[in-house]
Amino acid sequence: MSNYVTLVSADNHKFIILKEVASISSMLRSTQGFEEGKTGKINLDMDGDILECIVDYLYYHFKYKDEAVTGNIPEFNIPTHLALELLVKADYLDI
Amino acid sequence: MLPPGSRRSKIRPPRNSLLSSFVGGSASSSSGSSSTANAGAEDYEKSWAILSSAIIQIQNKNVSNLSYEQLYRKAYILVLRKQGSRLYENVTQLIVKHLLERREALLAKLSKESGGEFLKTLLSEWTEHLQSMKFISDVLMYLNRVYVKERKKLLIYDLGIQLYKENLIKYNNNEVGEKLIDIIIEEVTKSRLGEVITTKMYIVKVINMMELLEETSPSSSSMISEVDLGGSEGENYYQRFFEPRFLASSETFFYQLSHQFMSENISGSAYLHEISQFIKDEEENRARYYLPMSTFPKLIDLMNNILIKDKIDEVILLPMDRQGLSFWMEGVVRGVFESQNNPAPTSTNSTRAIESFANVKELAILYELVGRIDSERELLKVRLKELVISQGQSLPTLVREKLENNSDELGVGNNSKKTPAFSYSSTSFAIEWINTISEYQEQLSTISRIAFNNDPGVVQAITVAIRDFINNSTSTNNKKSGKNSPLTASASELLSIFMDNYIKQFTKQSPSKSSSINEEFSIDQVINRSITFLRFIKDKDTFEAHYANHFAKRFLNTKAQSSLTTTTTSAAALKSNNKSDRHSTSIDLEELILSKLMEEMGSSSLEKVMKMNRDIKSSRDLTNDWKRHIKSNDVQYSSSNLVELELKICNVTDWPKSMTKDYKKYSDDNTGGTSGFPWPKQLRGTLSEFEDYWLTGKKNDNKSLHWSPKFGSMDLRITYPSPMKTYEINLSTYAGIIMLLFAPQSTDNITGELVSAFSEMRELKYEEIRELTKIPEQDLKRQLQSIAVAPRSRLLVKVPMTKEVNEGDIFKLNEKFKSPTIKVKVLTVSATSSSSKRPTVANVGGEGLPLRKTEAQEEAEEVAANIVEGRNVEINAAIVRIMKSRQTLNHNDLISELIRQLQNRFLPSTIQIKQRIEDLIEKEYLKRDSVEKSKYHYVA
Repeated sequence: MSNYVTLVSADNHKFIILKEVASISSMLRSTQGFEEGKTGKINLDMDGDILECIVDYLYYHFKYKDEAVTGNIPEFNIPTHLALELLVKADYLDI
Repeated sequence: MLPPGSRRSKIRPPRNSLLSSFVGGSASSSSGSSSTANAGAEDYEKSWAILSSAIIQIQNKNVSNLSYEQLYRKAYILVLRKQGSRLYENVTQLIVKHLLERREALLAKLSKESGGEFLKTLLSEWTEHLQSMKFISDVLMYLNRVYVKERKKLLIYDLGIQLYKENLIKYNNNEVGEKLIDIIIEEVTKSRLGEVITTKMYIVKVINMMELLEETSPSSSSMISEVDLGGSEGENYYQRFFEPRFLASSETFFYQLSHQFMSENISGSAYLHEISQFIKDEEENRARYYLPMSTFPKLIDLMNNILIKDKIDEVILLPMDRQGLSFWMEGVVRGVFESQNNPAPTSTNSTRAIESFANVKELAILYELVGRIDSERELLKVRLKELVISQGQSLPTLVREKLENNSDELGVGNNSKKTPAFSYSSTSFAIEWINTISEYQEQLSTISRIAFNNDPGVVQAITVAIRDFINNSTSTNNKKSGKNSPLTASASELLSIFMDNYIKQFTKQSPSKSSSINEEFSIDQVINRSITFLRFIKDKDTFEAHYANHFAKRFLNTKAQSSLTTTTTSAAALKSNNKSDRHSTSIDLEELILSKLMEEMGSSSLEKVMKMNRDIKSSRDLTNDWKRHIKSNDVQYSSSNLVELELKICNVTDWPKSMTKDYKKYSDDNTGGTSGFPWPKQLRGTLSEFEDYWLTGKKNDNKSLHWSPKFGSMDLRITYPSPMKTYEINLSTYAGIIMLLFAPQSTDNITGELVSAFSEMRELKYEEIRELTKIPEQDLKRQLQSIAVAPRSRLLVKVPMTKEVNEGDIFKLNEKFKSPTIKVKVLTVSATSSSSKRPTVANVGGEGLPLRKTEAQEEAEEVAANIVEGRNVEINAAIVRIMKSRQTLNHNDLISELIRQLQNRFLPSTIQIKQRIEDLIEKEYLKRDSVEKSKYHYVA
């Protein structure tokens, strides 16, 4: 079984990321018991640029998750024009 | 977005934007809220149809064909459109429906399957349900996150568990649940009856399941928080339904078990083994295995109460044939006597011996079991104490029986054998009794070590019990057996006799004829035994008094330390080398024991003995000085034919009165003159020489010297004519003096030398002897019996040859005296056998006949008086001591303080204390308070 999972955006951009990273989103984690777990591919109803930003965030979160205590974490920059949209998608993915 | 770790303060997106972003694509383009509601209603049906079929798919385990993303989005949108409550309800209904179907299927299986299989089926049902609930919960995650949270409903997963309980387990009056409980209890019972059950794992899992089924008011608002806490607060199905029934059935089972055991009349040992095994199984293999921690102690309590607490006392008190405590401990007593028969048990096999005698295993189990119901084990202590006391009280009788048996055997077998005859006397009884108790106590302590884990409480109880019977058995026994029992003496007296006997034996010990007892016990062992025994004695002052008495007697009477050794007449050869050796060992032994005793009792308590000991030492010095004196003045004395003298000078006040009271009677230099003792002329010179020596140098100016022929011994060397043989005879001073009467008096006319005593062959009448020696009648008869009647030391021939010595009897030297050894020791016949009050004397030659006559009584009285006097002095001293430091004290406080101070030595009676207080008031050490009568003041 692969350690990676492919996220597919509505406009067919594909992001191959570590399962462990994807699992930060409880929604993405839950898919694993279903068809998506079998195919290793998760179709998501969002544009590529949004998904890209989300994947960035997931890796950022994954990288610094142990640093939370020290507070020694660089800021994560969000493109202003995507902010609102990202907020909605984050809620959807339960990030 | 925020950095990870600060998720709590997450920003929630505005609802409108959520709706627009998702619904926009799929639903109508109008963004008005009213139209979305309408569209939502239509949409709901569509979405629910998909979701519900998906849920059914999940329940049928077809998860992998469903697209999570799509289902999740459906539920997500429904929640966003405020359809959450509808969705929640629909899901609930769907699950209920599914569960009811499953229940039917289960019931159908129940009729076909055995209990164990049913458990298995049910468990797989449960795990499947949990699995499907997990997937459903995943799909409805957004519902959980938003709707459930807002309305404080049960999370979908927990809802599933609740529904499972309500609709599957408890549906129709707890039908399935009751079945489950029945099956489990049945299985447990089987296991308790010793069957091997295969369902253990299932039972564990079913019980786990039951614990997950929350019982406290489902769907209440408090539910969620309780779920969050892991259900530790709320009651669950297990606690409400299973536990009470399980405990009830266990209780019945335990009762039946214990009743069954008791009614089957099984032995106490069997009960212990069975119960202990059962408890172990129950605890390790059953209760700990599948019961939750909360139930475990309840069950164990139940078990302990029913199987142990209710029964154990009954079991302990079972009579011998049913094997109760008395049976388990009986071996101890038996062991004591049997191990004595096998001489010299080494420490390792004595432990093994105990294991074979006493039922150590049962005792250990008993200890274990009693410990389960009471960590202090009070019951065990009480019963053990009772038993030890009753065993201890039976010891004197057993000892007596043993002694009687032994003396029977010896009597039949070999009369002349030199083993100490176990006659019915106080001495052999004391030795046997104390050895027995020591042995008994050692066995008990071994048992405590093996079986009772050296529990200090239990050891203490045993110690108290031993002390109790040692101090009381003698008196109670006397009352019971009114006859002339050997136990007229108190424990302290017996101990003193015991020590006296061994000290004598060790002192006497010479390599050639060490008796069997000496091989068994080393000096250390005897001392240790004595000290241990001493610890059990309450009235230590009584022991001191007796010990002092024996000490004095040892010193004055034994040959090795002879008080007035005179070697006399014909051949004045000496054998002092040999003697002084033994002498020093005996002194060392006494000193060793004294120091041990002082360690135990404190240095002040043996004052009297210490003083006597000082006398002994100074006597030894004096003897040496005297010898040196003679040597240095050899020329001056050579003509006077001095006799070797070994001296014992005793301060009259420090020695027992019964011995010293008539010391003046014999002094030949006394003013009275009439009572003067006619020392034989052979000795007279030496005595007066010594007196002169003693009075020179002014060191003894303030003292007067009296000779006591009553004590001590002398060595005589007699050469018999046919066959020519010389014997060295050691006999008491009195006997020696008598013998000297037969020494040659006349000189041969031709040679001018002394005529041989055997050619002179004097004959003396009893009256003549009495007149010549002035020995008191009682003693005279005894001495004459010793040298004229006793078979092994018949130095004189008596006419007529009767055992009794009577007036008119005639004595002369026995020419045919023979002895296998050159050295002969004349043993003085004890007072009883010579006394005319007892006409039949069974065993004249024996050394151990009971001392029951006047002299002994006198002595006993004196010892008793000494004890009372000593106590008075001690109480007085203690009162003064206390009052001096306190100045003023209440009567009651004074008494309690007194008892506290004195209890180590003896327990003063209240009457005695009151008398003492009165005495001290009279002597103006104290005075009563003028107002408060119960108050005393110290008068400085």
